[in-house]
Amino acid sequence: MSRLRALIVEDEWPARNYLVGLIEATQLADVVGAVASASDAREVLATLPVDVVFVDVQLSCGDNGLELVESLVAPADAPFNGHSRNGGARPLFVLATAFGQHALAAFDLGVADYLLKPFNEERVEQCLRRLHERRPNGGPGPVRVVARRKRSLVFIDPAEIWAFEASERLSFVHSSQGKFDIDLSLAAIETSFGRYLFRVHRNWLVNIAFARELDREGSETTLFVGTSIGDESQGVRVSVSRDRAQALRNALLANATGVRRF
Amino acid sequence: MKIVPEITAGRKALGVCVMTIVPLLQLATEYVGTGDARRALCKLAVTIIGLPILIWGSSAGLRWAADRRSGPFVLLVGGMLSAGALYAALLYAVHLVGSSFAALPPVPGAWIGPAAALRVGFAMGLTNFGLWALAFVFPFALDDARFRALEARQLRTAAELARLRSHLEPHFLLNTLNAIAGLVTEDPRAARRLLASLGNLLRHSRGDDSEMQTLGEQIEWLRRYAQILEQRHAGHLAFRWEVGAGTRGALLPRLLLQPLVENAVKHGALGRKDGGTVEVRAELVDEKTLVCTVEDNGPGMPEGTAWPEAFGLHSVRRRLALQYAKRASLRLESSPSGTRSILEIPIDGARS
Repeated sequence: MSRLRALIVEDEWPARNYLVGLIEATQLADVVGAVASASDAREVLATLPVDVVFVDVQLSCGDNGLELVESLVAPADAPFNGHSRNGGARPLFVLATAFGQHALAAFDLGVADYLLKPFNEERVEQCLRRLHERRPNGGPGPVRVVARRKRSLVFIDPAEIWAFEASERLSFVHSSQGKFDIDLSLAAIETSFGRYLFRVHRNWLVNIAFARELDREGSETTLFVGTSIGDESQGVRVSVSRDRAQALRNALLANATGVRRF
Repeated sequence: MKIVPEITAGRKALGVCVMTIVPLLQLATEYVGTGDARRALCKLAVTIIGLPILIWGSSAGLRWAADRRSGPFVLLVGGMLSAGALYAALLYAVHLVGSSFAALPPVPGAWIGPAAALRVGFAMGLTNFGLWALAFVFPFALDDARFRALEARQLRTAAELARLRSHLEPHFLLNTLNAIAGLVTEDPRAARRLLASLGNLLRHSRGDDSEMQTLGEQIEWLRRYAQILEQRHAGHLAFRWEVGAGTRGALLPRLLLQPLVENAVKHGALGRKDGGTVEVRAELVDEKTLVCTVEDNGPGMPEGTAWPEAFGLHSVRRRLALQYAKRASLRLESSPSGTRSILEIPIDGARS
C-alpha cells in the first residue's frame, strides 16, 4: 500500500506540528507540506502533487477553510488546475475543527472526512484508512519540502537539504538553494523526514549525506554541513551538543574508512 | 429582573385632587356664568357618582393594559369611549330624575331633551377622562414603554455578560486543548505552561460576579489570554503592554477589552504573513478619563465592511452606553498598516 501525500493547512503552530506527527505516526501518509494560510495552500496545490489536504475550518486572516475547499473542489468536468497530476485526480479534503456544526456544509462539498479537535491518534488513523479505500494508489511522486522566502513559497528536494535549524520560535531550512523559513517545529520535521536526518543538537537536524567536517575545540564540537569545504565553502557550521557528539561520530564513521576512531 | 412601573400613593392622591377640583371649578364657573342651577346640580350629581367609577375603572383598565402590554393607544381610545358612555348614561338618568322635580324649573332656551343630555354627558365624560389621562395615565403609559425597553436591554446584557464570564468561546477552549495535546510530546514544558495559563484563565473568569472590575485585574486576565494565543501562534504573534501609572485602580466593565483584543489578533496581527504584534496601552488623561488603546499592525479592515457593528463591537458599545450613557466612547481607526480601537471611559471611582 503506497503512502498518501498529505498537505496540512492549519494556522496554529502546535496544532500544525501535532497533526504532522499524528499523520506520520500512522505510516499511511507522508506530509509533503504544512502551511498556515489558504493562499499558501493554493500555491502548494498548484505545484505539488497532493492526495489529501487537511484543512482547519477557522483559519486566521479571515480565511475560511470551507471557502478554500469550495474554491478547490472544481466541477468534475474541469481538470484540476489544468495539470494532470495524480492522473488528473483532485485531492481529497479532510476538515479539522472544534465543532461539528459545519459537517453538513462540508459533506455537501464532498469533503472526505471530518476531524474534531482535540485530535487523537486512533481517529487520524481511521481517517487515513478510509482515505486509502477511496484513493488506493497514492502516487509515488517526489516528496518535497515546502518553505517560505518572505512572502513566496519555495519547494526543495530533500536531497538538497543540508540542515534544519530552530531558533527561538522559528525554524529554518539550510540548503544549496539558500536559507528559508519553514512553518514546522524541528520535532515535526524529524517525524516527516526523519529517515534522512540526524539530530545533533536541540536546535539542529542535519542531513548526514552533507556532513563534511567534524571539528572539536576544547569541549565544543561543531559539524560543517554543505556541498564543499575550503576557501569557497558552501554550507553551514552547526554546533553539536555534548550528549549527541558520540552518537554522531559513530554514525559518521560507521561507513567511513581512512580515519581511526577518536 | 422584571421592572413594572407603579403609580405611587403621592401621585395617586395628586391625581384624585386634580380630578375632583377641576370639574368642580368648571361647574362653579358655569353656574356663575349661566345661573342655571338645575343644570349645575345635574352635572354635580353626575360628577359625584361618575368620578369614583372613572378613577377606579381607569386604574383597573390601566393594570389590565399593562399586563397585556397593549400600549397607550388602546388605553386612551378605550378609556375615552367608556368614560363618554358612562357620563352620557349618568347624565341621561339624572336628567330623567331631575325632570320630575318641579322645584327647579329649567332655564328657558337652555338644554332640553334627552338627546341633548346624552350629547352633553358624552362630552363631560371625554373632558373628565382627558383630565385623568393628562394627570397620570399618559405619563404612566410612557413610563411603561420605557421600562419595557430597559428591561429587554437588561436581559440581553445579562445574557451576554453571562456568556463572557462563563467564559470564552468553547472554540477557544477546544483549540487550546488541541494545542496542548500537540505540545505534550514535542515541548512538555510549553504544554505545562499552557495548561497553567488555561487554568488561571478559567479560574479568574468565574471568580467574581460584579459587573465592574479594576483595570489592573482586567489586564492580568488579558495577559493570560494573550499568553495562550501567543503560544498557539508561536512566532507569528507578539503582545506589548503599556499600562500607565495610576490606571490600575480605575474601574471599568468586566472583560470589556477582550473583544477588542480578540479582533486585533484575529483580523489584525494574524493577517500578516510574517506575523504581527498587538499593543495594549492604558493611560490617564486629565486625571478623569481612562484611555485604553488596542492597536495591531495587521492589514486593516477591508473597505466596505460594516466593521463598527461587527466582531463583537456591538456589545462593547452597548455596555458602554448602559454604564456611562454618553460619557464613554469607542473609536476605531483603520488603515492598511493597522487598526486601532480607542476606548475612553470616565473615572467614576477606584478600588485600591
